[in-house]
Amino acid sequence: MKIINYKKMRALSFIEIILTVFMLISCNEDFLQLEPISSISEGKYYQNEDQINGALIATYSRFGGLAHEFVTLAGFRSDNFQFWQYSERAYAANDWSQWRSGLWEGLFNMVFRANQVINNLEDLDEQDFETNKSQYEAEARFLRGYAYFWLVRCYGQLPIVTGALSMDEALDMPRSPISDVYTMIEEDLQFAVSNLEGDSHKGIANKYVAEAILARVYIMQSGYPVNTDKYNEAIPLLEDIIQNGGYELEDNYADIFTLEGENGPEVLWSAVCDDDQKGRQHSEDHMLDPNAGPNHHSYGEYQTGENDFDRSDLWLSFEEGDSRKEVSVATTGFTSDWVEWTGLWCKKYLYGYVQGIGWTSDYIFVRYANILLLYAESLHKTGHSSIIEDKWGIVNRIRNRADLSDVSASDGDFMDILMTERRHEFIWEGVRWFDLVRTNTFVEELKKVRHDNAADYWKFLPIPKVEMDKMAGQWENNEGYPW
Amino acid sequence: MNLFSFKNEDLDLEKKMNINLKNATIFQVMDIALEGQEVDYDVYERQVILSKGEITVPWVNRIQQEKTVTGFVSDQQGNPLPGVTVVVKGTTTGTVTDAEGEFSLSIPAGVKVLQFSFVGMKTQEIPIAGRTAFTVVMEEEIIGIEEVVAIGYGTRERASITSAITSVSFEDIEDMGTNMRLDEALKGKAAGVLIRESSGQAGDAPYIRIRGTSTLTSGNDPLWVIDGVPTTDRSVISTMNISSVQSINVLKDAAASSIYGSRGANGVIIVTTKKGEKGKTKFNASLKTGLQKEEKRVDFLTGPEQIEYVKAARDNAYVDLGGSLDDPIDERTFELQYPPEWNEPGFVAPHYDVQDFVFQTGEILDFSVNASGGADFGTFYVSADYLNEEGIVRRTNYERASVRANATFDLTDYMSLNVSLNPSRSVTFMPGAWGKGSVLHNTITCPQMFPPTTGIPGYEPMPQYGRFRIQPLHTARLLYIDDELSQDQVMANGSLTIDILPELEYKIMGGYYYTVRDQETFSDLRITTIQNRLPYGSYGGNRRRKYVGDQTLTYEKIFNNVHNFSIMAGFSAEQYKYFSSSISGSNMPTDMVPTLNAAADINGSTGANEWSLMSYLGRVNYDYDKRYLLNLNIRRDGCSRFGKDRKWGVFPSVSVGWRIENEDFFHSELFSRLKLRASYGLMGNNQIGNYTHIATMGMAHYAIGTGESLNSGYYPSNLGNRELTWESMRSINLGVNIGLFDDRISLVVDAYRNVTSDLLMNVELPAHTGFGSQIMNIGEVMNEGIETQITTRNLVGDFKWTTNLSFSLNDNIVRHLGPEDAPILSGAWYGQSNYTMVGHHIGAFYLLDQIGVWNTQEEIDNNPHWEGSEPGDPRILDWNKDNVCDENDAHMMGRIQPVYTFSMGNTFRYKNFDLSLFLNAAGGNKIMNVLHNRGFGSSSENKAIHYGWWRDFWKSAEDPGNGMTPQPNANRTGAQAKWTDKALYDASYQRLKNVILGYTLPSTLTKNIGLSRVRIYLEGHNVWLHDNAPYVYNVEADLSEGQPISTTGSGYETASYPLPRQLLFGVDLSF
Repeated sequence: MKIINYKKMRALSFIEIILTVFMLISCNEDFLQLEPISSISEGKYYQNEDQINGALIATYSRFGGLAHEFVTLAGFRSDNFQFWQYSERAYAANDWSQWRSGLWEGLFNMVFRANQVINNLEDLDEQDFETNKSQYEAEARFLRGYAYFWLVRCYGQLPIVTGALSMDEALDMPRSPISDVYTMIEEDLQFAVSNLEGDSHKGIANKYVAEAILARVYIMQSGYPVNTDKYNEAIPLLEDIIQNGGYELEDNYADIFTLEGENGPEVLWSAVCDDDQKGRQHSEDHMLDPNAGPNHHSYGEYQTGENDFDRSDLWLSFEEGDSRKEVSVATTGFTSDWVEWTGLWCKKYLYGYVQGIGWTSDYIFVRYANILLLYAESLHKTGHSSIIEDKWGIVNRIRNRADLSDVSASDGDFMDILMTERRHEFIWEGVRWFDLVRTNTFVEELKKVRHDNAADYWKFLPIPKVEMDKMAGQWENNEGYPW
Repeated sequence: MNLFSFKNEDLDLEKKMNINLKNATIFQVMDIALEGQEVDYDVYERQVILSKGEITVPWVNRIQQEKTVTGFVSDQQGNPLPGVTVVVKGTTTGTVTDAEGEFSLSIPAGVKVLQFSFVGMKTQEIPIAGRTAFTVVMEEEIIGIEEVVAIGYGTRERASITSAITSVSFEDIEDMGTNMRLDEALKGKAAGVLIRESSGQAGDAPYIRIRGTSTLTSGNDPLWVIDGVPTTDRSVISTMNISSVQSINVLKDAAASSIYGSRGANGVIIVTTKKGEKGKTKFNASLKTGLQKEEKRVDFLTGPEQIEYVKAARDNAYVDLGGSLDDPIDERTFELQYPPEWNEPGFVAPHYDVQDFVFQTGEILDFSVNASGGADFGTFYVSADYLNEEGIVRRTNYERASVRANATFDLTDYMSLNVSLNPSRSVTFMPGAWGKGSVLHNTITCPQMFPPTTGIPGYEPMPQYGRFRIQPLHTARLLYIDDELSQDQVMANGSLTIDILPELEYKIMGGYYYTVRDQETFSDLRITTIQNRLPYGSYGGNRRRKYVGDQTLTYEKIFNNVHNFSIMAGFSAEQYKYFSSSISGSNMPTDMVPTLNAAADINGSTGANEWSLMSYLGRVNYDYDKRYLLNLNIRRDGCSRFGKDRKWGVFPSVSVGWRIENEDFFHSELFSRLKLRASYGLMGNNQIGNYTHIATMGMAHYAIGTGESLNSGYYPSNLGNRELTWESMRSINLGVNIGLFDDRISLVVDAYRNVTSDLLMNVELPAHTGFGSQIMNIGEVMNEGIETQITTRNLVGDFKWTTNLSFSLNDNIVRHLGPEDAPILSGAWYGQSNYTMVGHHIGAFYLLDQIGVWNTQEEIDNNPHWEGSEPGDPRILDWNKDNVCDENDAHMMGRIQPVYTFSMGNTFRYKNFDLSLFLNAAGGNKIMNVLHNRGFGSSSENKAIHYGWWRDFWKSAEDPGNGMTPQPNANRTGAQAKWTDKALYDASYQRLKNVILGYTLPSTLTKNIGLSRVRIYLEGHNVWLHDNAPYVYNVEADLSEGQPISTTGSGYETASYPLPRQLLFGVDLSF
């Protein structure tokens, strides 16, 4: 029989070895610091010029989905179209139950992406940039200012967000007065005007685009409900675009919206939608999709709905021979891969339909016709002398292109004529509703199209109910809304 | 004359005795004289030295005198028992009995006790007392006593366990039959463990919930620990061969599971594989073969019935929309048309049994061999097995082969090495045959008025059938698609144990597994012609790799005979990595190359993720005189899955026990055992996703320039959360172990309450943060329950009868759901009918209650009704009693997990015959047949109206049918179109799960052919079933492949793969 002599084993040295092994392994905290492999973690991004550029691209791409909101809002809330099914009624002011929050969420998400670019730029060194660092900051601030411009027009008072917020910070944030919001927007856009280059890359902002948006910001404030006359500040911006921007009107109105005519000389800035399939793999590239927005109605019960030809205010408002009518409003059936459109409908974006891919039309934010008409309006309001033709000349340029004859002071009030022209020129381009608001004509115009209960408080949308609920009583909603 | 030397205090000098011996050696004399005294002796020449404890007299040379003892060992029937281990107690000196049950052993002088042990028998200690010949009768061990239980990083005797642990031994599993998955075999064996067999396809995993559902969004799977290697990956355990499993221990309460810290909350299942025993090498071979077919068919409308229904529905809709039945059919809108010949007098609709087409009888072959033994070097156990199961659904098949080699090497007296290697391979043909969108889903719902092969080239042409869709494509997929999933796996581990001191053991363990899964599909021209495309195929693969390393120090010592200490401290680290790839190829000009080589278009992607865990652990077990038991556990876990500010967590637990049976005051004829237990502790669930706490960048594209060139960039797609961490569970458990009538009846009862808090949920954020939500630790769920396990030995002796009963109840209540306690609405892919609400069960069904069919307009007018109801429409219960029937009348209509589970196993043995019957049952929950809840008029109407439920529908007030089935209408409006409880069924079932009848050939017969044991048997599985869900194949089914889509949205049947009814014949040989 063997007897184990434990003493020979030198128990102590065993323990020493074991403890050493314990220590060696356990001190290595890196073992627990694992980051995603198949995706990029936020902490690793925004480190160099390429990544800043990428983050900016992703900020622009946020227009995907939002462009559709712009179109539906300015169309359905205005007197142009009424449609009572699905999500579109969400922007018709008297149906609270379907109120959508996509516009609010989307714009603030865009603000977040822009803020990430702006704030991360601060930590980077100017020398590491081939292009000016301020060029990137200018673009990001432009996008933030533009997003806020939509927000302030739609919702009035807003929280001013310039960085990442924790839940508690977000809950503590008040709605700032409209004037403060506009001040912030102006600062952002002024920075963009001074720091952006003049040369044009379609789809992204340059100096003239920033000037155009800033001019619209000034003109919007000049009207209802802010009523601070800033036409004089808009004029030099518009003149710079007219004189130095190199933009011109497209000869044929219809060509602006065709796939072939996209990115023509008239377009200052549009959200470009690639008509090659590869660009559509990501949902955010889905700039405008009539299937999700201006809706199809292949089934019987909707064919005799609110968009009857003889009841449509828009349809009836066109002058005889206006070529924009046929270009903008569909009257005949249109068949896609799986759905048939009939009745009166948004036609502008259907030209971009590509079989097997879907809708690839660009969403145009600003085109030269709007610059000209805003200039004419500013001339009218200020008495400023024009650097091109006078205000009637400008209006007639636009009218002539639409195969309409000249008008003059004898035909009526200039502002009335201008606003009708704008209505027909910019159908489905995110313009009409705000024109009605700033001229404070929305109540009477809406009453004409069977919105009998239209009232002053309709000038702003309500803050979505889900957001008011999340704020748990911290905020007061815009006047007149039930939550 | 002998000289005796001793110290006075060592010896009782008052004691006197007379011993009469003749021709005895001095050793025999001393052995007898000193029996019962703690006095040892040694003999040096003529001196006899007496002392307490081991004699260490350095100045004498001890006599190295040995003597030989012999003996015969038998069982209670007197049959010789070969292979019984005989050792001198406290030493390694020993031998085993030979084939005749005899042994001969040389023992040193001075040893006193021989120990006889044999698997399944009570270990006996026989004093030598001077004898040299022994006759020993081994007694069968009473199950549950002195059994050693794996408790995680160690083992412990069952009697001193103070937590809730259920053990399942190999014998228990064997009673179930061995051609099944490891997890499946646990079914009904452990109270409190729910095994839901959601698919009958061989190789498919059931899902397991230990003590209910304790999370809403995170992983629910228990932690499996296989020979020390932990995993929650069910595919890893899928290929384990049951016959190589020695025992399974299920750790259920915090006191047991908290040694696994942040992973213990879902319970822990410890699997220990077999080891060899020293002695003669034993061989075992078993062969099983048999047939299987579906356990149940459901009642579908026959072809003529379906046509009657479709006609009525389309006619009614057409009339509703203003048409007249006299109009020619082609004037109707397309979706309301049907072949005009259906209206012709004498038209007899054909009938094709779709279930005959889909199901087949499958053959099963299961073969395994193993050898085990050991010698001076150590022990070994090697096994190999092969299983081939033809499925019960056409063309489905499962094949598995595995090898296991376990070996222990005694390197030195104080050091031993343990290695284990387990490669395996399995191949499933048509792995995704069932579930939503599967071939089974689409084929089995083909209308029975058309041949299932309609529209397939080479079969019957497609008739004109209006909008009534049939599924030639899916039938073709069932017939021709190649879809194969293979899994190759190696599990390996090794451990080195060093006895630093007799009381102190150091163990270092390293474990590893590597699993490769490949799934290849190919659709050839026979399928793609129907789809109007060219052949295509896909490849999807993943690899999983895990490393784990543990070190433990265990110190065990008994002080003063009454203070029993066992203290363990350890360190553990592990890392898991997952790689995946997927490739799809399409537009192949030919189908002659069944790989993706010929594809004109190929797309692919790869991905990877990983996680790591590092832990310190400690345990103290203390018992005082085997009466008062205390157990303390603690683990500190650091995990990569937790946010930066919450990387480390501490998980402690405490449990106490009182073994009343060992108290002096406790004398009872009735109670042979009585132990009270209580435990409390904290555990975590870290199955929260690998990178959930990290904000990641999403990719976006934006086109720039007149050329519209596409640019890519990244944006933060979610908000991170530095404080994100494990879900934590506080658990309290009270238990009692009772043995009655000398353990003829043994009873274990446990009651628990588990409160899981910090549940991971998406909390809504104000959108001006840029995001709508953020994942946070918020939310709370409570589970309570009672578990009982009873074993009775009803008859002993020649005719033996043992009964095992287990019964458990579980109740879960949602206590908190985020800041506003907003309910979570979820459900199947096209209907939401599960509500998770504070104060209710997780994911309870929330539906309208259909209580009948309106018969007359008068009846409608006089009762609360759904707006626009007409005679023949479903009558909805006005639940909220507001005199209107509308959506607000939806209410909670049942839970998705069973309230109770019950099982009963009976084993009978008489002479050479054995019979076991195993029955299990569960119930108190509901299951919804999603398809059935869809109505006519939807795009897949043929599926919706397939079920016999629609047979006896309302036709008129005079012919109201069965009073529950409304009038069919293809243009459903109002209440007709709503989801109601019509498709919600009681999911209770009782099933005779297994019957096994065996006969062991008499040993006199087998010995002649050189075999020690031959047993032949018949095995039946899923022999008998009773349920209350006529249109559900399997009430245990759930929506997706093995796993519900989400914890809060499940309880659905969608063309599940029925469980198989099997009949097998088998032979076991041992030699």
